Amino acid sequence: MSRKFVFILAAILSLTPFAAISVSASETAPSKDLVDAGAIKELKQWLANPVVSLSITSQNRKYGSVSQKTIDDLDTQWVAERKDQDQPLIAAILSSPLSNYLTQIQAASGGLYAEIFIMDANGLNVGQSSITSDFWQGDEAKFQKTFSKGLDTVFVDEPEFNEDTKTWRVQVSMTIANDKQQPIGAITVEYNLTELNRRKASA
Amino acid sequence: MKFLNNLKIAKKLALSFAVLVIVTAAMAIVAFSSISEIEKADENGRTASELQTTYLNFQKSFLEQRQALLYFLLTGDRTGLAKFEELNGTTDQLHTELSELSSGNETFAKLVTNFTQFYQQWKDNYANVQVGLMRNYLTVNQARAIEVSGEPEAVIARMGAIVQELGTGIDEILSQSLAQKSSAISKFSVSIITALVAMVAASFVCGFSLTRAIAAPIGRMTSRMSDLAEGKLDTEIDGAERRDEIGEMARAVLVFKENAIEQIRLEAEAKRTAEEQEKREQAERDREAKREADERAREQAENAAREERAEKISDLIQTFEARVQEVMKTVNLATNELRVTATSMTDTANTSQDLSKAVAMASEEASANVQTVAAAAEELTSSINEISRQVQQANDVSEQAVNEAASSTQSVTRLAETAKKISDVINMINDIAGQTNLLALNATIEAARAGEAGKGFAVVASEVKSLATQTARATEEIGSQINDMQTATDDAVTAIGNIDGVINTIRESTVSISSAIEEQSAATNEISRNVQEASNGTTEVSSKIGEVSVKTGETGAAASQVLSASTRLEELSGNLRQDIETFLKEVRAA
Repeated sequence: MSRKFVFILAAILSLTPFAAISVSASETAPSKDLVDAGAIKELKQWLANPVVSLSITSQNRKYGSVSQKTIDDLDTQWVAERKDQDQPLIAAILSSPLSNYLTQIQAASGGLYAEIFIMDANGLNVGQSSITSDFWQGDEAKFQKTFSKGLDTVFVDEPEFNEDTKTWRVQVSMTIANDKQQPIGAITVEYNLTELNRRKASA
Repeated sequence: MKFLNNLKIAKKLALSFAVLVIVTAAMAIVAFSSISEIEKADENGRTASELQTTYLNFQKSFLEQRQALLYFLLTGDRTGLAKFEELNGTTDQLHTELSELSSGNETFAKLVTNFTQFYQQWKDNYANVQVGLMRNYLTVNQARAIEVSGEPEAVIARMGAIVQELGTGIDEILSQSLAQKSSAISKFSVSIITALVAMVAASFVCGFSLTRAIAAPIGRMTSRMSDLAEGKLDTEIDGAERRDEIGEMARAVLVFKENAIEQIRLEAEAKRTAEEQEKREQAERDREAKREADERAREQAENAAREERAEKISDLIQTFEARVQEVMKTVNLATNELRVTATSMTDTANTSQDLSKAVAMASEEASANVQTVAAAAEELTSSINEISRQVQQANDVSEQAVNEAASSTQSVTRLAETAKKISDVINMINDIAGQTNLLALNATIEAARAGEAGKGFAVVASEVKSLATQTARATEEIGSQINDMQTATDDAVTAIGNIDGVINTIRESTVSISSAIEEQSAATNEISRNVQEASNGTTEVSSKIGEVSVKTGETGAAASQVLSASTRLEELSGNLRQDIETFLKEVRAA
């Protein structure tokens, strides 16, 4: 347990200097307004694929009525699996058809989408293009400011600079509805704001 | 057992076999019912087994199909799709077969219907959709997502539950049919063993009963019959109260036994009767002789007295009387003998009739009992010989009676002539009396003329006159007496004529008796011959005995005629005797 804690702490510590550096090292972040209605519309287009609602609905059915304790346990399991060879939860989620679909979408975006993940009604991951640090997003703004706020809610977070790629990133989150216009989950798409800016500029 | 004794043997046998047939039939019915139960259980088991095979094949085909789909979903390899589609046909085919097979069982049919619903749901809503989505790479994820959603799995799980239920049901039916079969087989075995035991028991009971009811009594009867044949007549014949053939046999044997006893009794009786008859006749003859002697002595004494009393006409009367007495005695004797003969004939005829009746009865009762008939025929022959002898005797006697009657007639005629001569003498006496009377009258007149001197003469004349008158009166009386006597003799002649006629009738009767006896004798000979020659001619014997009976009746009738004739003869001779006695008494009185 103490060992695990040390690892988490180390991870946090390792990430913090980058953020600080990126903020300090960036010149000026492109405006998050770049993520306009057109971008949202495009996003909604590929979200209309039935695999999205199908996958969310089936996970909602699976975890629909679990307790917060179970959710916390699952999240803890996820974090632990990240460092393990055996990854039942992670492997299942990342190899799910929705994850495949999202990976394909990300691949097809030509570097526009840095990361895509879709959450269920509990804020638990359903599918994702790359591995996330945790399984449960329910305690974060990207979920709390979308799913709970109803349909057509789009939450665009503050842009962040990525040191590895030297690009600005922005996370755009929105509520996902089913055919009956009922909220079933949420999506977070991390845009390469730099690329978006470049595309807009060259357009 | 008593009930069994009263049944005919055929019915006994039929009853015994009926018992065996019933037991066999019951066994067959139980066996058939057991076999049909086994067949039914087999049929149920076969159906269930077929259903099970089909359902297992279906399950296998379905799982392979699903595996192919999953392979296709995972890899996108079209060989998986090809296999899926190929198996789709097989699965559908098996599914149709399953539906058809389960249609006989309501529960299974319902289960299969539910199953079909889920199967169709899986195929239409998931499998086919997934296959469609897998055709394009953009929708591959959707197809897989459908699988991941767990919905197809849920439907398959429900199908599985139904299939499980179906399997359990089939297993249940299989075990049920097995249990049914084994119970039917054990029932079959038990029933066959029970029926065999019952059959053996029934056979034993029937055999024992039949042996007791038929064989044993027949054995006993045989030994009794042997005893009877050996002449042991005190043998007890049992079983006569039974109403079956044994009872009939016992009764028949009983009749044989009684006939044998009866035969012995009849022989003894016949012998006794003959002895008695002989004794009676002897006694009768003795009595008759004694009576005759007595009468003769008495009559001799009477004659002597009469001789003393009437000497005047004693010669004539004595002669007459002696003749008449003799005739009358003879007639009387003849009549008595006739009567005795007739009585004896009647007795003999009656005896013959009785015997012939007894013989007829005996011959009717027991055809085999020819000895009795033979004995009776012998008896009859001797009786007929006796009758023949008696009739011959009667004939002789009547001949003698005719002769005596003729001589009686002559005597009486002579008596009548003598009476006429007496009448002449009386007329002469009458004349003498008339002359004497005249002489007395003349003497009276002469005495009156003589006066006192003729007074005494007158008295004498008067006396003579009175004597003459008396004489005339006496002769008158004699004349009338003679007339009476003549009338009596005429009556006697007529009576004797009648006797003659009667005796002739008797002769005629005896002639007819003789011919009847000849016939009888011939008939008896015929019977004897028949009896000796053929024992099967009992019916003929009966008819001959009937003839004998008729002839004996005729003999009896003839004897009755003889009897009545002799009675009449006796009556007539009694009349004659009375008349003659009256006549003689009056003559004596004169």
